[in-house]
Amino acid sequence: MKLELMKVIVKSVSWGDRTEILKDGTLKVNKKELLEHVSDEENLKSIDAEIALPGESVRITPVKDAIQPRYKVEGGGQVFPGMVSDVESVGEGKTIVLEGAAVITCGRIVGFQEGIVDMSGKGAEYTPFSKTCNVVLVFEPKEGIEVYAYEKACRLAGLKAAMYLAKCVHEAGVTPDKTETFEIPPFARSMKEFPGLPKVAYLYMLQTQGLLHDTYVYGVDAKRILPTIIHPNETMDGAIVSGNCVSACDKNSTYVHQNNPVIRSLYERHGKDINFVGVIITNENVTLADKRRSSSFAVKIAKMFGVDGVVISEEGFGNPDADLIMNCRRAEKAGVKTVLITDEYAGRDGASQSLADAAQEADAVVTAGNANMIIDLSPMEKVIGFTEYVNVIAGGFDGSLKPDGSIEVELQAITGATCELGFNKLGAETW
Amino acid sequence: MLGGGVPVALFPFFYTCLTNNKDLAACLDDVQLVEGSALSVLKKARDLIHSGWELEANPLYGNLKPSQQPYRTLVLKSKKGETGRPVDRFSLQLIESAIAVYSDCKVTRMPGDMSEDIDSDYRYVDFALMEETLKNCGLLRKDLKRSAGR
Amino acid sequence: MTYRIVHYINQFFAGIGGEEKAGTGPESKDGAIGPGMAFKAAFGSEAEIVGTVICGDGYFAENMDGASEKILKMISDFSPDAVIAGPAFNAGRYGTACGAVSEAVSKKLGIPVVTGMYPENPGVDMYRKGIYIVETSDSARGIKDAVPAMAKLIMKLLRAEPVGSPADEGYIERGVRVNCFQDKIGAERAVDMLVKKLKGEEFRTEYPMPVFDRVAPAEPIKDMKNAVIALVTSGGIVPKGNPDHIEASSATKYGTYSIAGVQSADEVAYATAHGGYDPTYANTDPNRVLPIDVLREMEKNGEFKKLYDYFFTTVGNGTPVANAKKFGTEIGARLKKDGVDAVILTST
Repeated sequence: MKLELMKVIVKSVSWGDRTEILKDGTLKVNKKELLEHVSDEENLKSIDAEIALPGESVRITPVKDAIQPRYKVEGGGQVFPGMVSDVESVGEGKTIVLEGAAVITCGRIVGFQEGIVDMSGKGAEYTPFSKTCNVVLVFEPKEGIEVYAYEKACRLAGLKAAMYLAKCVHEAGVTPDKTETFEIPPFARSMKEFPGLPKVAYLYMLQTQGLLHDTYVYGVDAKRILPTIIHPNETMDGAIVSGNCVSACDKNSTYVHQNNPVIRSLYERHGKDINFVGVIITNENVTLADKRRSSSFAVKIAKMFGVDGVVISEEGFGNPDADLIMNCRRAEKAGVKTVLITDEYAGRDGASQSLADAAQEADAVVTAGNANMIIDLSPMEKVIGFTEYVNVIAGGFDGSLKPDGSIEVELQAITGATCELGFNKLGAETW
Repeated sequence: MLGGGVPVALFPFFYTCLTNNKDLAACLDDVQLVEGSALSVLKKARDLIHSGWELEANPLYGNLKPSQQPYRTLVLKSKKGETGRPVDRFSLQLIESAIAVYSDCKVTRMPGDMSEDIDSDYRYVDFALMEETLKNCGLLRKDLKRSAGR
Repeated sequence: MTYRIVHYINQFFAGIGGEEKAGTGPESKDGAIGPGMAFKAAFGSEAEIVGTVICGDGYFAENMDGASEKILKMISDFSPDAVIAGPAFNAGRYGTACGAVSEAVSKKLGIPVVTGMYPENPGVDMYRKGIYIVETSDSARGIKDAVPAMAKLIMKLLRAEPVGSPADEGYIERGVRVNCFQDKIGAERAVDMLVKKLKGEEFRTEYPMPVFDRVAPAEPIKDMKNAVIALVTSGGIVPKGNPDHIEASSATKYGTYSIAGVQSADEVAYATAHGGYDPTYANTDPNRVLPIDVLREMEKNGEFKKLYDYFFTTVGNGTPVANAKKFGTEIGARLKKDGVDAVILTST
């Protein structure tokens, strides 16, 4: 399966008469058209859109999801299959990517709804979305609508917007700035390639505990799946979509699913020091029986591949740590070497136990940082969204929001700060 | 779990639920409503585990931290007709880890600490995360419907 | 400005005497004494040792709270900007004292403080999280390296300069997780690590798992009627008067006492030395913690063969793991040698 990502570099965004990209890299967006496209009279009372650019004194809160605009121009299916497109399998052909742009969704689903993105200042250093040119959608729910329906409406609106932007740019005619090719042949061939190199798979854990803690694969609630294999290219076409927004720092936004850094890194080393064999997706359910079933099944798939090692990434803290360690122990016992990627909740002083579970077998761990670290965010000139609830943002505490607009909060509240896919350079050491 | 619906009684178990979430308790059949913090619920569960009950679900479900989420709901099971059961070590290890996480937390959130608006949201999310498990154990009597936004 | 520093040392380094003078109470002297002179040289004109506070290690161990209070007062009377303690190298009681004094200074006086110890000193495990302990060698011969390292670190703290990693600054890891940006993203670091692990090359985990010191339980007794049972306690029951001065907390020793012919741990002959619980009920009837009476009854009824002639006791209150391990190993070896089959270990 071969996929070409045609990357169009976006340097700025502004409103205009037509949704297209200019030669200087400015993405022009027809606001009215965009809002019409994502409107959902049934579920949403209002949707508004704003622009937030890197370096501006802008704070976006509460952030629900971030999505990268993409659109398939060749090959089966269309982006975000099973969500806003048909259910056909994706991952082949050509897909246009608006690199440097993101759609951010912002809506109060429950009172403690969370996620902060600062486009400048200290907070900007910790979130990937201070470096993207953002089109921010702000939602208000229709009176009396059920929470589940509202969450879904927000989710779909974001995906629609992302697809709309890329589609318009494509239809207006554009030459990509660069093209990246990703290819792994069918197993019959790939297993015989690079005979001297160790076979490596990626065990991709998806958050699946319930409302505000869910992930979707081809539109299917991943809570309901048995672990299975997917081709890494499918993630690049939005096969995996986030329904999770708790907690902000380690929730995997749709954007990072689309740009999965583990998949990118494995592709980079493919054929050089490893034979990247494939991706196994698994879930993080709540019941112990489900956990054991998924863990056993996922590791069995790895054994069926005959891999020598796996990279395991997780999403979340506490319950997912139990799955992470369970997967690690099973794999190691089965003779498959593991490296884990996680984040830590070591307390504000960094002295508490970082993970809820532990094992001797987990001897190779990469950390995305301590999410309890306190950070002071200076006031921003403009706030997109709602700030009243910062005090109840996960990671916020009584008195978090100061009268002058500055915020003293844990890193936990910053969207994507400790992403457990290893998206960022943040790490931690013992001092 | 694959699909929903009534569980097949392959393994005959008694189920019980310990919670400090009054909204949730009102929707259940076999429930013990615990007054107090999430930590008290965990400690009560530990007592039951020492008496031979097993955990049905991980006590650290949900990504909200102890300093934010005041509510905790645990589902336990015990095999019908067995007496003098040994302690389930996996359940014991899980509950002790959970208690350690909660005890380590410098802030104790109590039900009713925050405004009713926010507090009811926490009760709702707690319910939402445990809903399916409760349904599959046959404990859920009625749903908890909830509208978004205020 | 010249910073004012107070130096805390024990009776040995103060030149008062060795073990025989360990009971010396807190004293205060002007200027630098003993190793303080080496610090004086290291500070040059930047700081001066305005005073030295001395305390016997034995006195401190047996009167932790009272001694800390007196020492703190003596220190603050000098109006210091900072305090240095030790270095204690591998001396256990001295390390505990330096650690306790340093922590008290940090918490109650709020001024910078640095001490120095060998990593295996029990004081390290007890106090590493709250204070800076510079790593030293295991004996006083290492003073020529310890002093400059401690001096450099205290000057940094006085100047409110940011303190770097343990490797850079020479202090013992405090066990605190600190965020820092790396050169590569986490995913790349993970793949790098996996490639190394698969090649069998050395790699360094970014999060060392907590060490689990599991002890495999011994096999249960099959023939109880012929078993020799011993009593060991960390509940602190000692012969009245505590003849061996087992400390009420952070015990540095355990006691071995004969119970040949003793039928009960009565309140005339026994009491508790443990400082971590209300002693009323233990002192009214020490059998509650050290059940000699019940065991004698069972012995008489033939439920087991014999109650071992000695009991071992210590105070399990803030006991450093290193000490507990040491006691357990020694006691276990003695019991094994004397043919004991099983132990009843009581704790509180």
